[in-house]
Order: sequence, then C-alpha cells, then structure tokens
Amino acid sequence: MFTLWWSIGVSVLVSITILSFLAIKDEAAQLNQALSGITDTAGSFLGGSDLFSPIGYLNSQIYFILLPILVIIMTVNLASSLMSKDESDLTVELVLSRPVSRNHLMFGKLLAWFTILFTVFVVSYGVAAVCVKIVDMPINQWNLLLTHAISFIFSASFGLIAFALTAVSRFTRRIAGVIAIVFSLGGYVISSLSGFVDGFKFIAKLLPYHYYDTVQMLSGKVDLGLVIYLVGITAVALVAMSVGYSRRDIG
Amino acid sequence: MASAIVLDKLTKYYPGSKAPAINQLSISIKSGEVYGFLGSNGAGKSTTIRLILDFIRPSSGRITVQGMDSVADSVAIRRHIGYLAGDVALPKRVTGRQLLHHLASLSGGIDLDYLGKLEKDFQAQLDKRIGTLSKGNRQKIGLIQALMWQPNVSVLDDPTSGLDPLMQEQFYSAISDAKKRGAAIFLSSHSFSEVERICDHIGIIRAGELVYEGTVASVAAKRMPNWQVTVSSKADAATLKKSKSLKVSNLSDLSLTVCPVASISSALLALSKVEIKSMTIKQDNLEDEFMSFYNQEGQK
Repeated sequence: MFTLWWSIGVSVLVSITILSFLAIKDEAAQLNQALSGITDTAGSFLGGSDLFSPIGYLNSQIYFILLPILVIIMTVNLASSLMSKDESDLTVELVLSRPVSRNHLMFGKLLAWFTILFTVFVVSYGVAAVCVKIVDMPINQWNLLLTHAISFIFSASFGLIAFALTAVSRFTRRIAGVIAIVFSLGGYVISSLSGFVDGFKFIAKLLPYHYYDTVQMLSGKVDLGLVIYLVGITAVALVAMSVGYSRRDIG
Repeated sequence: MASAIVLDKLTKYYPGSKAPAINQLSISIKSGEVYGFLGSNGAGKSTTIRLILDFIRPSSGRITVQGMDSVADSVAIRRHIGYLAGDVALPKRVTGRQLLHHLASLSGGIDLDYLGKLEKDFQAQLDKRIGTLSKGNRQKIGLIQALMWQPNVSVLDDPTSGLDPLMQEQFYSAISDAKKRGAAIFLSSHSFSEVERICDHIGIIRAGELVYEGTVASVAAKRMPNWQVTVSSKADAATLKKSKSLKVSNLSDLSLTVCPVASISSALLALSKVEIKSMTIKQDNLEDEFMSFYNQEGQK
C-alpha cells in the first residue's frame, strides 16, 4: 500500500505540473522576460532564473525542489519505519531467533527499501515521459530519464543516511530521521543562499545540494562532485550500517 | 551429561546505567534438564534470556550454547534453539500458519507432522489473522513456533502467560516430551507451582545477581516447618517467646507462629513445656523460599 500510494502521489504531482506547462507554453519567452527582474536570491531557491523554457520549467517546478522533497520524505520515512518498527514492537526477535544473521536481516530490509523506491521511480518516470510527450516539450528522453534517475538517487541518499543512522546505534536510531531531513533541507537552504552570503560559500561546497544541478542534467551532464558524493555516501553508509548493526544491542 | 547452556561470569551494563543489569552471573544447564529462573520484575531475567539469544551483547563474561559461543556462533546456535519471548510480539496482519511457514523457511523447514500435532494439542487457530486473536491464542502460536523445531535447547520467557489450565497441561506435557528427548530447557516464570512441578533446578535472581541456585528437591529439604500454635495462657506464650529453640511471632495474644531455630526435636521439646490448645503445620512452598530471599534484601 505504501508503494501504491507513493507511486500515485508522486505521479499525480509530476503529471499535473508538466501538463500545466500547456497553459504557459506559448508565452514562455514573454513570461521569462517579464520575470527577468526576479531577484537572484529568489531564483537560486528555484534552481535558476529561467523559469518558463522547457528545461527551466522542469528544473524549477519539478526536479530542483518538488521531486527531491517528496522523495526525501518518502525514503527517510520508509528507512526509519523499516529499521525501527520491528525493533520497537519486538517482532524482530522472532526473525533473529532463527538462524538469520543480523546483516542478512538488515540487507533484506535495504533491498525492500530499494525495491519500493525503484517501483515509485519507474511509475513516476513513465508518467513524466508520457506527459512531456503530450505537452510536446523539446526534451531529450534520455536526458529526462537521467535527470529523473539522478533526482531519485540524490534524494534517496538522505534516506540511506537515515537507514545507516538507524542501524548504527540505539542512540542514533532515535534521531536518524531528523538528522537526514535537516541535512537535506538545511543543505538546500545553505546552498541556495551561498551565492549571497559569503559565510555560506565554503560550507555549501561540503553539502550535496551544491552539486545538484538539474539544468545541467536535463542537458545530459552530471556534476562530478555529485557523482563523488553519491558513491561516497553510499559506501560510507553501507559500511557503517553493516558494522554498527552487527555489533549493537537489538531492541 | 554435557552442559547445553553455560553462562560464565556474565555481566551486562546498559548504556547510561552505572549499575549492572546482570552481574557476574554463572549458570550451567545440562541436556535433559529443566531450569526455572525466578526473580521479580526488573531482576534481570529477560536480560539474561536476551543475552543467550544474542539480541544484546554482554559487557563481560561469556555464554556457550551446546559448546558454541553465543556471539561468534550466534547463527549456528539458533539452529538448535526454540525461543519464546515474554509477552510475545507477533506480526498482526498475517495468519499464524503464514507466520510459522515463514519462520520455517528461514530455518530450512520443519516436520509438518509435528507442527500438525502441536496445532491439534494446543487447539491453535492458525488460519485467523493474528491481530484478531486473544492473548491466550497468540501465546499458543508463540509456543508452537518455539517448540515446532523440536530443538535441543529451549529458552522460554514466562511460557504459560495467558494460557488456560487445560493448555498449561498441554505445555507441561510438551516440556516433558522435550526433556525425555534430551533437550535442555531454560524458562523464566512467575508461577511457583509451575516451576515446582516441571523444573529440576531453580535459580533465583535479584538485582542482577544469582542469590540462590539448587534443585527443587533441595529447596524442599532445607525448609524448616512453620507451626501455627494456640496456647492456653499469656504465660505460656511468654514462655515460648523466651525459648532459644524457637522463633516466635504473634498472630494474636494466644495465637503464635512458631518456627524451629536449629532443630525440630529441640523445638518440640520447648513446645512440650506449655499447654497447647491447637497446632497446625503451615506447608512452605517455593514461593515462601523466593519471598525469603527478597525479604532478606529488604532487611539489609
């Protein structure tokens, strides 16, 4: 049910947003010109000042903030639920009383988390691809697939952080969701402000949102810094959860 | 006979707690033996059980089950263990049969004929969703999942909680069968009559420390009787109170509880010196023994 409702929810939001482009499609150039006075600060929170060209629209309305926020909430919530629920209601003891290793159990949960995420990704991408065709956006389908996929993977990285924190220790289990959400949304705010607040410039470079450039992705390019972050955080999270979960007290 | 479960100087501190939940606990349980573990709430019974199952890790000390280390060989050990948690937690959305088959698939299968026997013996409702079952019926499913492996070692936390007397009898019968098969059974219980009935050894734990361990028979043997005596006068009552052979407490002016201090014969001699109108023997049981350990703590 979780998978079904999230698939429907994300797909409906994506489809409504893309189909709304029909209403402004013919006035895109004029609208961009009319809003050329938009402040850089406001533009940076939307991923740039181009809001109405096909790439600018998909960037500002879906991939820069809407889709990541939805997927971050979904993956963090799902990770915390998968890792914590059976531990707090003690049903985990039933499984762990059988010849099943802790890592086997944990990676089974990780596989379930990934499968749900992948299902929502496939459904929502399919809907996005069809809607882009319907409104006749001149967007390369491979670039759309790349952007949709990277957007999911980037957002899921915060879910993976929540997963790892929940697995590592009983203390971090309690605060995993909060840390993941604060890290993701805080990173978004700091990265968006870093162009105007000197003090944030260095910090922003340490945060993943700094490297998350969906305009580039819709043009078929991915920032190397983002790739390094995604590979690095995945490796660190997998090692941390494997070591932590196999050593800590359960329940 | 070889020891099936050995707890060796086991100590467990929970994070943030200065006092140990378990302190230097050493217990040995042989194959074919039923060991009853008694203690008040928070004494450390469930912590001990969770250490045996490797849900939590010892701060120091070691546990071996059938010669294997509880931490290093935890997966291998669980092939030989049947476990029932206290106040068993079961997933509510599945049926009992679905749950049992899922657990069986994690363990490489079970003897379906034996599962059918347990289902029949316990009159378990395996085809209803667990969330719709009463506590007693959920407990039956918990017991079946602990026993269906015909394990060499059973670790059972308050196994008859919520069961009616008929089902308790079925459980005792299943334990008896397991014992005949040579299985070691470690159970915690709040029912003293149950422990007296089915256990060979008992251990009493208080504040994380083992304060008594012995056979159920040895508990019975070391008991001194209590007599409730009614004497004919206050002078007789005073005489008994002065006697060094008796420990006397008043129920009323003429009605006393009398207990031998050293030997029964010297106590009877002291009693023979007064006129007794009535005398009844109060039969101590395991519960009295248990309470005496806890009362000693209160007097410290």
